[in-house]
Amino acid sequence: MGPDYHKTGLYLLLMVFSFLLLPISLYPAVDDAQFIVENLQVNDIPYDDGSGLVISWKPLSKEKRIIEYRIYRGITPDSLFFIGRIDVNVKTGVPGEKMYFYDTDFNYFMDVQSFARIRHEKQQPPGSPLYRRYPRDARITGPQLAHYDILGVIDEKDFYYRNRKFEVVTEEDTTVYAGLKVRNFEQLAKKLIPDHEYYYTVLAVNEARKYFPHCEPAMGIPRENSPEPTKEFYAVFVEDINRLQFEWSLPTFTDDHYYHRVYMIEKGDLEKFRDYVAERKLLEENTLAVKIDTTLAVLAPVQENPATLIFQRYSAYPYTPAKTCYIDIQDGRITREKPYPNVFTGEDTAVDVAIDTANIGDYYFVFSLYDAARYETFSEPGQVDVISSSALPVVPQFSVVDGENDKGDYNTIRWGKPVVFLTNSNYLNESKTRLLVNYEANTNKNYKIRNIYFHVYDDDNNLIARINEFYLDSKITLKIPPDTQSLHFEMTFRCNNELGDDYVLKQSLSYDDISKSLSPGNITLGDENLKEYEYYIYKLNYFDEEFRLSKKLQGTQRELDDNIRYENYHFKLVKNYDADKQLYLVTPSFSVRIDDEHEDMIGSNLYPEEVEKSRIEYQKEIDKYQASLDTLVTEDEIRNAESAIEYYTKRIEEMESHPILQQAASYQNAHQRIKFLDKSRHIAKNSFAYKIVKSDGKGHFTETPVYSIEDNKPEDGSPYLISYNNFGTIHFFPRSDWFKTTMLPALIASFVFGVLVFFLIKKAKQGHDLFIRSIAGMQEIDNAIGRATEMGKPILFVPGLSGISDVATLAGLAILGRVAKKAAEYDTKILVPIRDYIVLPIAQEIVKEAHYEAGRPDTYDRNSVFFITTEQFAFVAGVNGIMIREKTATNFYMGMFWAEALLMTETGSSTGAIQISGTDAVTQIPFFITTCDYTLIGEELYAASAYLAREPLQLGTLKAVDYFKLLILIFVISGTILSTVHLTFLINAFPEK
Amino acid sequence: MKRQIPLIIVIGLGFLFAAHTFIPHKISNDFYEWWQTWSKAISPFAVMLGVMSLFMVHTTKISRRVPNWQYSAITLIALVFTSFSGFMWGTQEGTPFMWLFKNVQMPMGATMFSLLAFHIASAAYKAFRARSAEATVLLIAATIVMLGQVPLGAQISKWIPEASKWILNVPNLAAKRAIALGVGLGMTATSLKILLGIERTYLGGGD
Amino acid sequence: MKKNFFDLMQSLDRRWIYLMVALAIVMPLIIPFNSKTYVTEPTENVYKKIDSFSGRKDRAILMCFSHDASTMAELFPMEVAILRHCFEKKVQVLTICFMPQAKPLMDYAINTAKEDYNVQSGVDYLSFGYKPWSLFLPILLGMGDDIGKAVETDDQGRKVENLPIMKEISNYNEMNLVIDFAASAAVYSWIIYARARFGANVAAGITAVMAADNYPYLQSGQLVGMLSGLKGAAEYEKLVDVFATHRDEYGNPDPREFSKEVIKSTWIKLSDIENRKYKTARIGMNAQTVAHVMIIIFIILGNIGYFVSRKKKKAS
Repeated sequence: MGPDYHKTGLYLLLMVFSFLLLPISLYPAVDDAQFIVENLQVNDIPYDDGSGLVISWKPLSKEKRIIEYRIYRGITPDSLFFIGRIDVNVKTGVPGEKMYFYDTDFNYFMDVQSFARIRHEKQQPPGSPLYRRYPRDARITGPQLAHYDILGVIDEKDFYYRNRKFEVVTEEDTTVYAGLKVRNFEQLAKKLIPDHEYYYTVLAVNEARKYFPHCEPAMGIPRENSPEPTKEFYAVFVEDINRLQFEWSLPTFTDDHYYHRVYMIEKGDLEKFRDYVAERKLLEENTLAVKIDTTLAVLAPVQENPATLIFQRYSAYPYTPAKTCYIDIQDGRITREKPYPNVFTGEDTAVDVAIDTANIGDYYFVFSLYDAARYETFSEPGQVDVISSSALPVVPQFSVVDGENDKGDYNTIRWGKPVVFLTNSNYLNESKTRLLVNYEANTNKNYKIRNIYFHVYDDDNNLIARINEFYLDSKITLKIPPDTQSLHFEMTFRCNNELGDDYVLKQSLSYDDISKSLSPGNITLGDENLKEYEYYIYKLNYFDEEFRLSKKLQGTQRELDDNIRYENYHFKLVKNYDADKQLYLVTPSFSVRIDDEHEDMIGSNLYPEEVEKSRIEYQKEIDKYQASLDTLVTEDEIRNAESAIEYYTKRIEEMESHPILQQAASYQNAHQRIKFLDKSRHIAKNSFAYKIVKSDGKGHFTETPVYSIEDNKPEDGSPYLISYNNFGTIHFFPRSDWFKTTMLPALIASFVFGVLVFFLIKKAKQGHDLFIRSIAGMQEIDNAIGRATEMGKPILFVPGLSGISDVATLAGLAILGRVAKKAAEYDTKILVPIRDYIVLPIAQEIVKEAHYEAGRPDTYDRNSVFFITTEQFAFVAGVNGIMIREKTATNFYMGMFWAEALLMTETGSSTGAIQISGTDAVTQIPFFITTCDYTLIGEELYAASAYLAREPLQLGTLKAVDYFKLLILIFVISGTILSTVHLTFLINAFPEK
Repeated sequence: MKRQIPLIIVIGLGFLFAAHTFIPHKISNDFYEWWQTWSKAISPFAVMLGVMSLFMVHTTKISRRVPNWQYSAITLIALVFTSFSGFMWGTQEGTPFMWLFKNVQMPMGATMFSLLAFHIASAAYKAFRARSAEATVLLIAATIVMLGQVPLGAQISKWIPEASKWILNVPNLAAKRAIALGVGLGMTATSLKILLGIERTYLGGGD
Repeated sequence: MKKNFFDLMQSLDRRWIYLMVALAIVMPLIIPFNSKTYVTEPTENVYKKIDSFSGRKDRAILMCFSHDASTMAELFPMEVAILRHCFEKKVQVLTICFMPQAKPLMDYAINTAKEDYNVQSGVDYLSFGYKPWSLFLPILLGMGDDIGKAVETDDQGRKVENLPIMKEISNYNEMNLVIDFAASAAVYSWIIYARARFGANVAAGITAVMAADNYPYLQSGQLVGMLSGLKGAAEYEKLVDVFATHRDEYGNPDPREFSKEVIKSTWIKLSDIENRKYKTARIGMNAQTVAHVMIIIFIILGNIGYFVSRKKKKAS
């Protein structure tokens, strides 16, 4: 008696349903009060710019099966918006007493994916203050702008062309803004404002996704703090060249640092200086205390800083993390032409101080970080290390070239000669007489390594091995005497350029008892230990005030591909909005480049008429200050007015005479004007000047001058790079390349192949008989279909599991076309299960067309080509089910298969079907061969279509493949022979990767 | 015309993308990225086709009460319920969708995969007979590799893992590379045939 | 003709083989026994590479989870072993997946490994979470320039570039090792893009069936190392036990320098390891050993049977 399918089906249905009910029935009702988060605290983060708060709370015990904590923030406790969550492992819970969530810096506030309207949080009682993320609705989110610093990240196209001019009229004046919809922003990011109150709450979610009630909101106020003290500071005096050198490390948080400064203290003033630092600390604490309790008395500073400022560098955004500087002492004085400005106090500090270099030990030096809140943090005062310039490292010659084969986003910096160093060693036998040594070679394009010669000596300086490494495979093997305790390697090169006879690298391997192997020691070149030094690559574009660190590289590196990003974004503060038009407003002005002194930004405006307006504004300011000059009394006020006049005069001058702005003004078409300004902006942003510092990290460094090539003047002779084709003399703009030279062999090969194809197709068309060896599986197709017809059973055709972009699938589909046509002629049903839904309509179309061609459109059933699932093994289960239920007589597997291949073919073979398979998946071929009757191996799959079609076009291509293969074989064999006799030109002619 | 227009699109775009391989220029890159966004937009529509096909096949089976139609019903119910639970409660940890994934999908996938072990064993049993000289070589090689893969091999003799490695790295790799070379060429040829419009079956039907 | 044992073996129903296989696999799993693990070169290389990053803030490894639950048995122990190694030796770990099915496995692996360590997301490790497959190439290439820009947010929605772990990590120069865990040749994309373009080191964790696919890359050095199947996982587990979690005589952490000699001379008894999750692969290898031996016995029996029956045929 067969199974009663109706009943079985019913049971199965019931089983599925019982499964689905399980997750709901698993969770008993719980007392919500026990699931409220306790001990919520909001604290200020130290050393920051007053934009960071840390929220902490006590996590619930793991028995409570919490999977997530959700954090909400608001400016009042009665409306709090979701800002982030922390996932928790249900099984383990959170170890420890506290959980933290950091609300710092600019981070996600809103974007186009935000909800349009305000939404209450899920599962909240009526009247709950909790909302989901900030909505796009400007009526809700707009008023929030006043309580945060909101940074709009805007794609340049949106900023330039999708803005709407928007005027905000107040009693005093009219401000013009560029209005943008939320969709024009890539993202809006928020930053907390110092001294503002923010409320936070947290709620827990359990594994059934039940949202428990939130805890009582807690308030926190972010405060501005002084920078974190510098941990390391080194001062070095290079005696013979009268140079003071300084090097320092920087703390983690650096966003609000404004100046890096170096002070000099005379020995006698050290105590005074310490008092001064202590007072600064007190003052800071007092400032904070006064903010909290306004009744407290404000302390006034008493002491003057006894230290003398001798160096200052602007280090604000875009942050300049330079970590070295030097000062030349001339005639016993440290002097500087221009005084150092302080934009916060308006003070200018002139530098002209005597220093007794003979008694340099009497001075202390201090490094300080000065931030935008006028706090200054000093490092521990230190004395100089007196050395002579011969103790400084020598920086090899370096060059800057345009990055090769790129889209214009790399400059390549190359320096020095090739380096090879040993990285590891292993014994190859028990008696420890054969050793495998791994090495790494670094070089740059100036020196292509042809050969590396290793000379290996023992302790008594006997040569024990000489190895000529002509093919660099990162390993060498050598025979060593038993019980070798150390080996000494001398490494020399043969390059395309002369290196000089004295260029010898030395490294030793010595036995290390812990690792019980020979481990590599220092790598030396002459007296220099290469690993002791690092290279700092500094760069500067037409947007930065100061050089900034691009990369720190190890002393064994010889090249840097410096990535220069295609910045497509404008970053604008969003301070205003318009609720009616749902616009967020940003300033329409933008910078184009920095002026030639690297001091002020030269900018323009989205709206040309605004440029003129601001010129008039500037003139008005000048007139105003001019008029006030007569009435001002204090020196400070006069100085301020004068510098303001100077500033505005300079701005007007630039507007009238700067070549870029002039050219921009000449455009009548607004689109062309913006396009030109954007291009200038891109060039300014992406043109970099470079210099290198080689240092041991402790102030013993050498700095190179800025790299320049005199003969590389811009084509039009103008001092500004305004063409994308320039590479500059000092500032280098990376060029977009039109051809990837590494692809040249591929291009030539494609061309040769193409010619072969044309030639052979022509030959085939002329009626030449092109011999093709028979493919067993293909010859059997007719029989296999015939068998299915005789048995009255369907045919199964699986066209692989991969997508349409896989050529194997296309080949499989080509075969499907032929098989389906035969099947239609014999009137046999064909089943085509599909895994990729893009393949589905194509396969349907092919089978349909095949039926039409066979003259049997009536027998085409669209449901015979059907989608199962994209899930790999579920698909197999589906196909296996079909084989067993439908008892398919013939199974075809043509295309790409992975681990599921054997699962299908084994089932097929157990149902007794004839199986024909074809795949280019090398690992699956053995499985197909053992379980299928016929298998098309690798390229036979591709040839099958031509084999079945037997038309000149197809045969010609097939034959061309054969000839091309012959060509490849010739190259492979000759390459092998040539490289065996140390002739590597042929294998080197092909790109490695 | 119905054939010509798609063919022209295929040939035109085919050559453009082939050129992209050789041109690193920003214009070429931007074009490629622009196209990628479009290709992404296509797949959701294709999903619809897939789901529709699934529905059509199984509703037909149910309505015609073909043998085993109950399985079709289960397939459809599972499909509807899984997507419904995903749309309704999301796909996060703790949702019914995730529960289904962890307790149905994961174990079933693992089960199917582990069937491989059984099938390999039975396939090996059938295949490895010393019927001829070649088959004997295959048999010995297989035994060595199998032993080399487990610690026992190294315990029997330290040469077994070495020999196993040699078999995998030398004869095995040589054969594989030869096949890979052929496959690479086959792919190139097929691509070229498509580019030149010689191979048109993917457009539906033969020639 | 009377059917003898060998004839029976010749016409053995495949279901008997299935039953034997099932027993051979299940029994060693239920009753673990101590066995030796021999470490192979590709596994060693992965270990050494990761170990060289230990304690460094300017180095990180990226683990890419490209498999679903079906291949978890082989790949999961690898992932746990590597994560354990990283947590033990303070190697910064970044994880990412491009398949929705891989996301829970990724979380599971991290959670399993971190249970015994005081590590924090965003500080010691970071999960970039699930990114749509369509973004695979853009992200893979974008990470060559700037990871923060390419992946943008982590799995908790935090801006990646703001997190402490990313302080000194900007692209493949720092995230210098990518390990892809897959049941397919997914690692190929990393080789041709991340390695060829940006010089990242690429390693693979792969199922044993697919391992052979990757040998060419291993031989040519395009893959720095590979863990193949359960065997690779077992080897890695052993390496972690021998070196990373090694304790001195007083029980204090005392990570040893890597050396082949030490591996050879150390035999770790499985019964000494309390936590089963750190020896899963090795227990699994026991099962695999038994299964392999059983298959070999079957093959031998089958062949004897084949010869006996052929002789008979010749004789008759």
